[in-house]
Amino acid sequence: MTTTFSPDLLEILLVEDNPVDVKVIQEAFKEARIASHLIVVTDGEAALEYLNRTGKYRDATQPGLILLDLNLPKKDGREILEEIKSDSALKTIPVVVLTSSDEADDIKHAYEHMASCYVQKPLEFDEFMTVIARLRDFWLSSVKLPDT
Amino acid sequence: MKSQDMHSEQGHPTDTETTLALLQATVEAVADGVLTIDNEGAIVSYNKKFVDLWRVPPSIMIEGTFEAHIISYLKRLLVRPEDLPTTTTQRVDFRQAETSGTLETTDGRFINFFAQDQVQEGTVIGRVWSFHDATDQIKAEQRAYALMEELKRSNQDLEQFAYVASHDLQEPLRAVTGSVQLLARRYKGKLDPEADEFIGFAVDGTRRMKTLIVDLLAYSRVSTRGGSFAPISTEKVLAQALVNLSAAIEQNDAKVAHDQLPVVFGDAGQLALVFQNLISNAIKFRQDAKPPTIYISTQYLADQNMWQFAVRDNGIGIEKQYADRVFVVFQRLHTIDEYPGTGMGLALCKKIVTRHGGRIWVDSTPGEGSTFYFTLPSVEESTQS
Repeated sequence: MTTTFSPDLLEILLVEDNPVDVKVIQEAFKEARIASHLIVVTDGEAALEYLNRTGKYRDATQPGLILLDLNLPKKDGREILEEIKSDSALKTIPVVVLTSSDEADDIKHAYEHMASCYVQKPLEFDEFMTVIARLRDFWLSSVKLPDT
Repeated sequence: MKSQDMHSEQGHPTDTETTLALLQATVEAVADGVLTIDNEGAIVSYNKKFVDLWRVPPSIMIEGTFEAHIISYLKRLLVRPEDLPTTTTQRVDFRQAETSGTLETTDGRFINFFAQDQVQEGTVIGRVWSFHDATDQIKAEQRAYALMEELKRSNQDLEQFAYVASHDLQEPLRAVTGSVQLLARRYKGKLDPEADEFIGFAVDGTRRMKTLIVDLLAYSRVSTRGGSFAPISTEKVLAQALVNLSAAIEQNDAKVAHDQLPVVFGDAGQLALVFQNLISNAIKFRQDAKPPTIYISTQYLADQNMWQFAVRDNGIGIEKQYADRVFVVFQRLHTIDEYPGTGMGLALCKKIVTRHGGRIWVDSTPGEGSTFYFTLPSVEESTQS
């Protein structure tokens, strides 16, 4: 089967500073045959610039889904989440927190600030694949997303 | 005491004289420095230990000196003069009939004082001060206290260190793990066989490191991230542990049975870990020929108001000389190839049980099985008064 998952125009913004995690996620996207465009920014400020279409991201399009790491340089993921969810133009974008942390405080904070879900990054590639496949099946297939 | 009564005409000591001499000899023989004053505050008597203890110059200890004079001399020797009441006549009510405290002198000594009314036939006739050099004792207490505080702080530092270290090690470990796993996926079979082997070692090493870090983190979280204690049903706690172990129980055809389990005072999440570790050990260290059989029983220890739990298995057992060592952090009795694991499970159990004020120990016969015992605080009203 060679089905690819590419809902029209859907862009996915990955906010992730760890280059190996970026590689692993890109690899997993490839294996999961997700054709959606994956844009990678590596710190919190860049993420906000991208979303607000400022600085070097003036021509960016609004992503349909955000994969957000929590521990980031400059502005961390917790702040990014708060800013996204208190911005009327951005708050409808689903945010999937994807982090290595399993701290109870982080999980609570994420849901308190309207994260759509919280996923701990697995260490094993096979488990990572499972997670990405599930995200694909849910966010890119089962659910209806607002127009961007 | 009137001097005309003190001598008989013959020059022999009278009964009164004998009694006074005896009294003075007794006052000299006690361990404390003693000062006696009358209701007007005039010195009635004192002993040599009083003079020595306070190094009172002879110019002060002269007949007719008043209490206030001596007290003000003593106050000059104190780090905190206000610790010593100015005069006993400050006392206005009978509840203050006794005063006591500890004085610190400017030359670094600690002196306990005690003052009490002298009562004769229901009437206060004076007051007795006694002073005792408690320097050695108080300094020893201060040293012990300082050591204890230091130990507490260094333990906290260590816990914090273990927590931060294990937490912060996760990120670089992710980088290594992710890289070697990507390497394995992309290049397995494309390099030479030795390269595949090296990648295999690296992947395996990162997996082991991951479990070590996770276990160390769990260990340090027992005290740094522990929940509050509440009455909890250990029946429910065990059920949770069994759900978490359902795969291992099924794979090994293990049987877990138990008495009706009590309600204890504790942290449910942590106690589930205790059951989970003990049962998973019982399954892991099974005998090849026998499916694991685990029985959990309890006993109420009325004298301690604790519940004692016993987790009995029919596994390979532990030799007596290792019975204490199994509870030590990272202590393993077998190689990784024989039995996987980090050697943290029982250390974690011990830390959790200790945090609950309980004890944990093991009784085992090699080849027959082990029984792990632990105690947890009961929620019953204590029968001890």
